[in-house]
Amino acid sequence: MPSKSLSTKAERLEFLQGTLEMLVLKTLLAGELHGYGIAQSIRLASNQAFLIEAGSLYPALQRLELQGLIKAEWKTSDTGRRARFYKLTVAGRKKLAASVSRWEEFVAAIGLVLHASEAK
Amino acid sequence: MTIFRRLVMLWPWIRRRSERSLDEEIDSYLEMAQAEACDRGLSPEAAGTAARRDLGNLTLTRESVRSVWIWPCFEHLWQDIGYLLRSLRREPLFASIAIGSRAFGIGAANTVFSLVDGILLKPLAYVQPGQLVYLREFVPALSHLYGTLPVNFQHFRYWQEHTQAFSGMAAFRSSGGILTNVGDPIKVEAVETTSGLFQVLGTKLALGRGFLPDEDKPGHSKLLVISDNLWRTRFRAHKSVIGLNVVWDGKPATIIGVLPSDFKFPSGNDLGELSGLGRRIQIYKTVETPLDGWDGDFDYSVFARLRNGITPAGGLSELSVLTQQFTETYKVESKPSPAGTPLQEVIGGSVRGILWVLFASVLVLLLIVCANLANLMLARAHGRIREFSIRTAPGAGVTRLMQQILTESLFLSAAGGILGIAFAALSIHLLKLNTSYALPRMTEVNIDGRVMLFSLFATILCACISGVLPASRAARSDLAEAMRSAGPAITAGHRSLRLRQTLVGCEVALSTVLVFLACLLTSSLVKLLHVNKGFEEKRATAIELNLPDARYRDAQSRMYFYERALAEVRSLSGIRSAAIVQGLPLTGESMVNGVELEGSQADWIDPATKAPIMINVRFVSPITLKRLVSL
Repeated sequence: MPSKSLSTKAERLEFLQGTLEMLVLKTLLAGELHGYGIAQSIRLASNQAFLIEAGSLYPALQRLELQGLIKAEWKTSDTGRRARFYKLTVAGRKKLAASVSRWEEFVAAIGLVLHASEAK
Repeated sequence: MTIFRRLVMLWPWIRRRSERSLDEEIDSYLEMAQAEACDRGLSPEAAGTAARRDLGNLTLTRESVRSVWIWPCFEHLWQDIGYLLRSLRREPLFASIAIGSRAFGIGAANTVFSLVDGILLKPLAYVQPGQLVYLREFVPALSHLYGTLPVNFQHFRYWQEHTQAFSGMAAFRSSGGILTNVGDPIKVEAVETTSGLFQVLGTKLALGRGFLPDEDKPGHSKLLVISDNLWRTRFRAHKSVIGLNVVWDGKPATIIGVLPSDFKFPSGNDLGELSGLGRRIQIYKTVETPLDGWDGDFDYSVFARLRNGITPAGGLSELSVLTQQFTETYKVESKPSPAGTPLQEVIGGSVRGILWVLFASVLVLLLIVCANLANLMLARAHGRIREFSIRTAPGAGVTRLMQQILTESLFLSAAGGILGIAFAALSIHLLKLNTSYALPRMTEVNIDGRVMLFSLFATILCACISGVLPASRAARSDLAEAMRSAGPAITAGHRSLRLRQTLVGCEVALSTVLVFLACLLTSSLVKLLHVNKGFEEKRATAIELNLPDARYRDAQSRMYFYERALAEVRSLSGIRSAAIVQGLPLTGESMVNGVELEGSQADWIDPATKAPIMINVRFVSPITLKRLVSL
């Protein structure tokens, strides 16, 4: 069970500040989705590396909603269940683009440092 | 934008709606997770368990979502205060001690701070008070009697005419008198002053005008500026008072101005020895023909305003040069030198030391109160270890518990602080009622914004000192251990016992210092009360007399009045004896004169110092001493 690997604090993969929000925005880029769907989608996309608990997912969703980056609406899903569907706003798209480019810069910079130490 | 949305969430109604929505959302999450687990082939029960496990701690999820909506500290604060109020109702003794002792400590600190602030710290209520200097003269021959003396009028005029460093100067002295021609005659405290007084102080008159430069010259008709109080009580606040002719001390005078209601003039207590000013000056009048000698007659207090950018020391050094000039030109034998103090330091200077000592002692008292409360809170925290451990079990963080203890401490301190302000207001009111303390600037001592700020500071300090220690103890205590030890009696750990002992030690040390201080002050007070004054004031009474110069022009008519008055007073039944004295014992001030021995034309010289012997002189009718002692 993948959840077992997360049972102790030390083993939990901690997100950098704002990373989870970026992943949520990215997931919603494909279309509107409910909370459970977002968590599953991230899990699958990350090849089971990121298991998003409701305890971090919902606060993140609330934060994004408060900031006006996503909008929510109660709808009936294709399986016939009522769920709250989240949708990207224009501001959300802009924010996502900015976060992604900042993230890439960050990764590139880290890569540079790591390669520099290898070259020695 | 975000802040606005958060503020909206503060409405309970909107928040409850959001909470319901969140619960529904979590339910739908669970359903979906369960459905998927079923699809994976688990039984419905196992699927439910798996889904809930997947979801994680539900309470924690709700908490963290709520903390996105509103600032969590805000919500926790209300929780904690509500909890505290309920628990205080159960423990009224703890509540009254905790709040009462804080109220006492903060109240005492507030009272003394408002005194220190009003008397010493607040800038004087004049325009640019930093430029004002109080000038006196130092006379070597009299230095054994008085450190400094008021100023000789000729010296003042010389300074005034030649100074570059000061933009203005005014000399004044006390001059009581009787105001007649407007209703019943009343005795009024007054000062006679040169023209510049109100310009120097920067006072704008409420009505009419101040004195013009030439109006203080001899021969000019007498002009009066009256206080707001006199204007309201005696003239019913009539505007027509300007230009009104009255009789002041038997001579005609004209009222030309009324001072604003907030005008404050220093009293004799503030201005030091021999200034002789009353406490409540009602009339300011142009100066009477002053004595024109260059020696002696050190009678006038002088206020001077420095020009921009000139320091008091700079101004004083210029006056020293000027004094040197006239001492040589006019052969001034007393060889005076000028002395000046910023007015801000003069006023309240006599009580400065004792006020700071008092302030330091109430701060120590506040510290003791805080230490005591910290101890009380520690003991209470121990009683609550089980409560804490139960709350930690479902996931309450240690920081949350610390926050609770700090909130409780802050709340108790705030309650104490509010009571403390009331305490201070009451004691200031009582202090003001009892005028015999004769503290300067008492009218400016108030519970104002500055005092409020101070009490806020004292409250927070109190909360921190009495809250931080118990909070940090709660954070470090081994809660699991506490849980395990069954039964209600959980004994204090070794470390925490030592901490409390240290606190008690500090309290004892601080209290000892305070007790010593209090003993010293009380013993000097007791000594002062038992000093042998040489007379017995019980069953004695005094009446103040003031004969207007205009009606009693010469010594003979005055003598006649006094003798008749004495004879009639003595004939009253119940009066055993009566006498006349220039000033009552231990009050007022007297003249300082040299003495000539009979048959000698010159001053009596002290063989040791070769300086004339100067003595205090006070006129008395022959009976005084004998009778006063035996009264």
